[in-house]
Amino acid sequence: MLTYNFFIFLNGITDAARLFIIAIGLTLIFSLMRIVNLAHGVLYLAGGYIGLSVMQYSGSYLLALAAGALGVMIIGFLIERGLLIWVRGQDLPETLLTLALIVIFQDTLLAIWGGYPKSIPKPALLDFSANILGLPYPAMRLFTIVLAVFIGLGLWFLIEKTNIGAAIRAGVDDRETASALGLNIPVIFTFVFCIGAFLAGFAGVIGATLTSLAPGLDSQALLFALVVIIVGGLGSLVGSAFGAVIVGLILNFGRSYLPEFAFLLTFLPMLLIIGFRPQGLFGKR
Amino acid sequence: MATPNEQTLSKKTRRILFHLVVGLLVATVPLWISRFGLALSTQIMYLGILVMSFTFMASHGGLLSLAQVSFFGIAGYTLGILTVKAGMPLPYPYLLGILMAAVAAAILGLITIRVTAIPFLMMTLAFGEITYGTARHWSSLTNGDNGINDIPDLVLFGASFSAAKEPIRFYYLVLVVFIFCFWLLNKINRSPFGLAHQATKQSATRLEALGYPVFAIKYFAFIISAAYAGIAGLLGSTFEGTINPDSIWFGTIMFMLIAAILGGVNSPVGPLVGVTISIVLEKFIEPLTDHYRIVIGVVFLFSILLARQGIMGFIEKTRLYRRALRVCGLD
Repeated sequence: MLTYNFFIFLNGITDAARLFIIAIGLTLIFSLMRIVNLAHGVLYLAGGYIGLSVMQYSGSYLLALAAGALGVMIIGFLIERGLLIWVRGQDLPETLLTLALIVIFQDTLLAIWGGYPKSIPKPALLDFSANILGLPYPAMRLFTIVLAVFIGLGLWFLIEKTNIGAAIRAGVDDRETASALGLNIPVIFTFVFCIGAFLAGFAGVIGATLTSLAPGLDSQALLFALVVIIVGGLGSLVGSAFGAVIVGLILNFGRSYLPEFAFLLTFLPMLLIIGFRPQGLFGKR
Repeated sequence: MATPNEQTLSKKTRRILFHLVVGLLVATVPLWISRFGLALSTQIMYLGILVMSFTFMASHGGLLSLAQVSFFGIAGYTLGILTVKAGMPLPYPYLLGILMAAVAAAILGLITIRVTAIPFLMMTLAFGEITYGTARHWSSLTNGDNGINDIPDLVLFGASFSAAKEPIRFYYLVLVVFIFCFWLLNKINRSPFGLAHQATKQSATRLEALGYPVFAIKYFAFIISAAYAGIAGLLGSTFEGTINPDSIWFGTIMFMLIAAILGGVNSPVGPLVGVTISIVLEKFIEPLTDHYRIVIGVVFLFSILLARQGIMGFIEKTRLYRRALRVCGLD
């Protein structure tokens, strides 16, 4: 029983790692631009599909990962420069615009890649099972944890320790002053949006390897990302990590013990946290 | 230049005449429209109620509640479960359906009403996805992906209102409900409560300072809007004879949102105009391409970028519209 629970726990943590990679791009974009990029879910799915096609052509997993992430980054660049720029600073139109993009992208992805579930084969290097407590466990899932920690630390380093990060933080804290001091805020915005999109595409390829690719999974990814960042606090990196762990654990324990309510249960932390701490666990007032 | 009409007839008479003409027009719809058109008109009206419930909250810079579709579904599922699975006699499942939608809003509202527009939108979207997921996975109650089928016909005063067998009768039922909902919502909007509700959207802090219970007003408005969505859900699931996860998926949420924005969020007739255009557009483009949602998405995108006030916002600015209003005695 203990082993059983331990494996559910492990599944929860590896799922949390996946959720964290999905949610982190959303958090990043929100923390600077105050835009909730609701198209994050479809960008995630697009990344997965692009990765799948490149994988089929080239057979290289690394190439697929790069293509998925960079392809979506280019889409993100076009969205930011071509569309969002027209509604800059207006909360609601910005959000609605990203909603409109969901509708367009969902059908575009369906038109190109069809409706049958697909998935990306695991890279040969990670296609084995590790031995945990005498039971086999897919190494790819364990690797996701490493990846999530790596991405989290990388972003933390970028934001806290580099000049670009300092400029981004200045933009978050006081847009006008930063801009008066000669920081090119629009360029920083585009940069951040591109990183967010890059992370969405990256998460898409990883997610497509761990689970699968199918229409509708984009809204699921978006839902979990939303719950993660609401629980963790909008725009907080650490918060997203905690939010992901909470949601990942609840989802997996829910699926094992109360399978019919697993979805409803993920809503519970959101309910409790907003009830008692509206800004989320690590959110700023 | 006054038209002859304005000189000869008083404003009140003209208004009554206008209402008579419109009334005659909608009442005679079953006589001159095809069966397909009649089904569309019925659909337009119950979806119109759903979109009204959305614009009630969203108008004048209010909150965009994407949870309306969930309330639609909660009412529909309550009806389906109570009639098909529990075999409850007829009027009660309908009343309980509306009640359940309102109760869901009362619970959701407790936490979401406090937050600002964007988090509110995120939370209601999440709620929508969770209702959808729950409808799919809680199969012992909701029959999972199959949904609940064979919802019995509505029987009122000994007459059966079956959408399949008596489409004309059903059309009139939905028409009466729609007109009542439309009238009541305008009444609410003009009441002291409705005016206070509008003020909460414009300046909540000042209203608070004036001693109004801002939270209670918004909270109550949210519950009213959920009840409206619930009514739409009851009509919709009776009309379709089924309620399933597909009725409340993300596409329905987007349909509601697109119809509301296209029609114009701030106009009382916006929902009806928006739903009509969305449905007609959908039926026209659907046979041409499998991917008509791309077209609809692009239309939506452009209306966000270029025409934020929607079609009614555009029409309301024209001279012709103001003159038409004057002629009809509605100014």
